[in-house]
Amino acid sequence: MNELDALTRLATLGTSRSPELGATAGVEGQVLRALEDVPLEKRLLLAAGARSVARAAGRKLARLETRGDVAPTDTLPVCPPRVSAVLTELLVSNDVEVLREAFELLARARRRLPPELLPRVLGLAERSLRVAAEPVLGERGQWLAQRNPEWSSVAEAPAADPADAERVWTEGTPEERRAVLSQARSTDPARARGWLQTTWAQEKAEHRARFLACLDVGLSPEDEPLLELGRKDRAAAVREVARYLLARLPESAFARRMLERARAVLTWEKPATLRVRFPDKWDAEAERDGLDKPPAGIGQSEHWLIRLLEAIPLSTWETGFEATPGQLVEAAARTDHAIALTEGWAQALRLGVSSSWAMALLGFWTRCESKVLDAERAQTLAISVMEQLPPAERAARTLRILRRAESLPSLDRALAVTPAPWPADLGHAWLESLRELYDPSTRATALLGALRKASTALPPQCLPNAVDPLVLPSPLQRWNAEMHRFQQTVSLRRILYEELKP
Amino acid sequence: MSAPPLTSEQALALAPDSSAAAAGQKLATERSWQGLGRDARAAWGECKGSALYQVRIDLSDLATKCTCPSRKFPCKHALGLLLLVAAERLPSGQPPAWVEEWLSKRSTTAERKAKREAAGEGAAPADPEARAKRTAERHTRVQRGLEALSLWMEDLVRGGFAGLEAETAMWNTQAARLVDAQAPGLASQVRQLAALPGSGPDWPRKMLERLGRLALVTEAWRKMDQLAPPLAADLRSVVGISLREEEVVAQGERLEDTWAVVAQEVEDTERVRAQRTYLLGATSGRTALVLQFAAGPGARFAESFLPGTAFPAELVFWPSAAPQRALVHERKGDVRPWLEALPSLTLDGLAQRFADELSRQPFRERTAALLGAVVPLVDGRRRWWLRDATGAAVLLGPSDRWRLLALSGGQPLDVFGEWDGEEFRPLSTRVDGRFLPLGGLS
Repeated sequence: MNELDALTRLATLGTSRSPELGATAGVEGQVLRALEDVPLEKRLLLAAGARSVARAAGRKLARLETRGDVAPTDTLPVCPPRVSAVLTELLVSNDVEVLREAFELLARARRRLPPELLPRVLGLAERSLRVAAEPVLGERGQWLAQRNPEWSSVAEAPAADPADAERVWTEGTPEERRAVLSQARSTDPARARGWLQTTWAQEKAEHRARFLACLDVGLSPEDEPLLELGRKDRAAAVREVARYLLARLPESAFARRMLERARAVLTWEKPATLRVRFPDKWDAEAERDGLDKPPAGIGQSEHWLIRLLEAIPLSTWETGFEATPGQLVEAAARTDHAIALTEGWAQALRLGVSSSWAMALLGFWTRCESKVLDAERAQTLAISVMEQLPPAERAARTLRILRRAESLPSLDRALAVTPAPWPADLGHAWLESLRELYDPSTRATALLGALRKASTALPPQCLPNAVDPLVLPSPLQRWNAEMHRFQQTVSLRRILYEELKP
Repeated sequence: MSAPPLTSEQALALAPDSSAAAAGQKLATERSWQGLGRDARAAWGECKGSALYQVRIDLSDLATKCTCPSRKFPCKHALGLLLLVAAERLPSGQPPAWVEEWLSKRSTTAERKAKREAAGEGAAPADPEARAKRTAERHTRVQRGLEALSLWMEDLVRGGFAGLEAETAMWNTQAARLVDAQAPGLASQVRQLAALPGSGPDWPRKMLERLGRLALVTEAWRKMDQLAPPLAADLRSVVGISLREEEVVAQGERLEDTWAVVAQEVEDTERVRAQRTYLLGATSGRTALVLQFAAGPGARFAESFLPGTAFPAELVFWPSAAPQRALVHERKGDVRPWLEALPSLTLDGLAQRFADELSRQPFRERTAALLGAVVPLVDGRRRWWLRDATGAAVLLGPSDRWRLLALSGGQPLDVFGEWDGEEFRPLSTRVDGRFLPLGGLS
C-alpha cells in the first residue's frame, strides 16, 4: 500500500485528533496558503477538491514501449453476418446441441468465428463445445486464448501425457478414473488391463463393475484371466459384466461351456419343432456361470433359458438348426417357453446384431396376446431390441410405426430411441403428422412430446418445411410454448445451413 | 432507389432482446407479408401473424409502429420489416392511407413540439414577478441545503474516515436532506459515496477527493453571483436544477453537423429506463451527450438513435462553460449507416481536451472522445492499457475488454469512451466501419 499523502492522512485520522497539517507542496499547498483564515476542515476539503481537479486535468500519461504483440493474419474467411447473429443468439441461450452443429458446419464450410464472439466461445463452460469450436477459432482465436490463463486449455494441444494419465488412475475420483481407463483402453488395451489388474483387489464392488465394463473396447482373449476374476466375483453386478464380455470371446472357457449346455437344452426336430429339456443336474461350474437361483418373480426355467441364450451368438442357431430366424421364432412360439426364449435371443443381439432376428422378435411380440405377454413387458423388450439396431434401421422402424404399419414399440418410445439426425423421410412424415393433429390423443402426445428432440434431429432437407408456421388447434394449445421453441430452433438451424454450404 | 438506411446487423441491434431478434429474422421473408412497399420517406407492410398486423417505418429516423399488442419495442414484426428494408427487398410504391395518416400525425406532433419550443423562445413568462420569486425561494432552499452539506462534510473530516462504514443509513439520510433541499444532483453524488468505505486500499483518498469536489460546489454556490453565466448554468445543473427543453432551445448553443451515433447505454431501474447516447459531429468533431428517459413498462424513448448510423441535424447544447449535453432540435435529413472515418483524438489530445474543459468547467467528472488508432494490451500485472502510436498509454476501465482485445488482435483500432483523468472506460469500437458496443461485461 502506498504511503498516505498528507491530506488523506489527516482526513483518515480526523482533524480533532491531529490538528496539524504537515508540509504540503503543489496545488494543495497553494490552496492551503491562500485560505489561511478558513477553518482547518474546510481548508482540507477545498485543498483536496482543487488537487483532485488539477490531477484529473494534468494527468501525465504513462509511456509503454511497443511490444509488437500482434495476432498472426487469418487465412480462413470470417463467417457471414447472418451466421454471426445466429451464433450470438445461440451463445446467449446456451443451446449446446445447435452450437455444436454450428461449429461443425463452420468447420466444414472453412469459415471462422467473427472476433467479437471469440471471448464468449472461449469462455464456454461445456468442454466438449470448446473442443468443437477449436477448428473455427482462427489464428485470432488461438492468439487470444494464449492471453487468458482461464482459456489456455483451448490453446494447449490435447496430447495426454501417459504419466499424467497413470497418476489420474491412481489418484483421481471414480469418474475421472473410469474416463482415463476407457481412454487408455482405446489406445493401449494391455496397459489399461494392467492398471485394473493391479488395483482389482482394492476396488469397491460398484467400481469393479464399471471399470470392468471398460474392457468392452479392444476386447481380446488376453482379457480372459481378468474376466475370470470378475465371473467369480462376490457382487452380482460384476459377474454380469464379466459373463457378457466372456460371451463375446467365443474361444473362452465360459463361452464354450455355455454353448455345450445350450445345445443340450435346445433341440430341433425337422421340419420345425423346438424342444426344451433341462438336464436333471447341471455340471459343477454351471452355478458360477449364471445358472443359479432366479430372482423373485421369475420362474427357474425362464431364468435359466435367458441366462443361457444371452451368452450364445444368434448365428449359432441358424447354422446349427439350418433354420431362419423367422422359423426359429415361430417354433419357439409353439413351446411353453415362448417369452423366455425370445427374451434370451433378444439379449443375445448384444453379441452380434441381426435385423432379421430383430424383425422376427418384434413381429412375434406384436402378435402376442396380453395374457401371454403384458403390454409393459412387450414395450421393454421391444425397446431393448430397438436399441441394438443400427440408426438407419431404428429410424425405418420408427417411420413404419409413425405410418401405423407397426405398433411396437409405441410411437413415443420409438421416436425417443431414434438417434439424431433423423433421415429425411422420417422427418417429413413426422412434420406431416403434426399438421394433421386436431385433439389430444396418445398419438398427439407422442408427436408433440418429440418437439424438443426433433428441433435438433431434423435433417437440413426438412428445415424449410419445419419453419412454416404451425398453429396448433385450440385443444392442443398447452403445447404452444414448446412449439414456439421448436420453431425458433429450426429457423436458426435453417439459417446456418443456408449460409454455410461447404 | 436510395441506398438502404441501415444494414441487417444494425436492424438486429435494434431488437429489445434476442428472442425478438430471432422472431424478427424469421419474419424477414416476403412469404410472411402482404402489401409490402416503400417510398423515400417510409416503408410498410401487413404481417400475417395470428391476425393481420399493419407495420410501418419512418425511414427518416427509423421510428416504427405496429398494430400488434406486443409490449416489446420494436416488436418482431417491425424488426422483420426493418430487415427487409436492409436487404433492399421492398418494391417502390404509394403508401396506403394508414401509412399516410401515421406519417402526417408524426409531422403534426413534431410541428406542435416546434411550436411549443418557439413559444418558449419568444413569449415572456406569464408572470415574471411570481417566477422570479419562485426562483429566489428555490435558491434559498438550495443554499440552506448546501450549508448543511458543508457542515456535515466538515464533521466527517473532523471525526476521521477510520471509523466510517459502507452502506449505513448515514449516507441516505444526508442524501434525503439534499433531495428535500431541491438539490437532487448532489443527493445522488452523496448516495454514491456510500459504496466507498472499504472498497479498496485507496478508498480514503478517493473519499477525500469526492468530498473535496463537493466542497468546491458548495463554495462556488455561495459565490454564484461572481460566476460567469455559463459556469453558473453548469453549477445549477450539477446541483440538479434542470432546465426545461424550451429554455435550453432558447439559450443553448446551436450546432449543425452530421451526427454519428457512437455509443449508447441503457440503464434500467425499477420505474425509469435511462438512455445515454453519444453523438459525434463528423465535421466539427464535437461530442454531444443525449439523455432520454422512459417511465413505465413498454414506454419508449422519444428519439430513436441507432448506433453505427449518422444523420444531419441541428443540436442545441445545454448552456455551459464546456457544453456537453445536447438535444436534437431539428433533423435535416435521413438516417444513414456511417462507414467513413470520424474525427478522433490521440491520447495526448484526450488529456489536453479534458484539461481545457476542466479549466473552463471544474465540476466536470469526465469527458467522452473517440481515440484514433489505439491498441489494447494487458501487461504482466494483468492491468489493461490503451496505447497509441506515440507510446502514450491510459489505463482501461471495466468493460468488455477481452472483446476489445479480440477485435484488435494487436492492431490499432478506434475506441470511443469516457475519460475521468485516471481511467478510460471504453463504450464502443469501430472495426472496418462496423460499430461494436463494449458495454458492461468482464
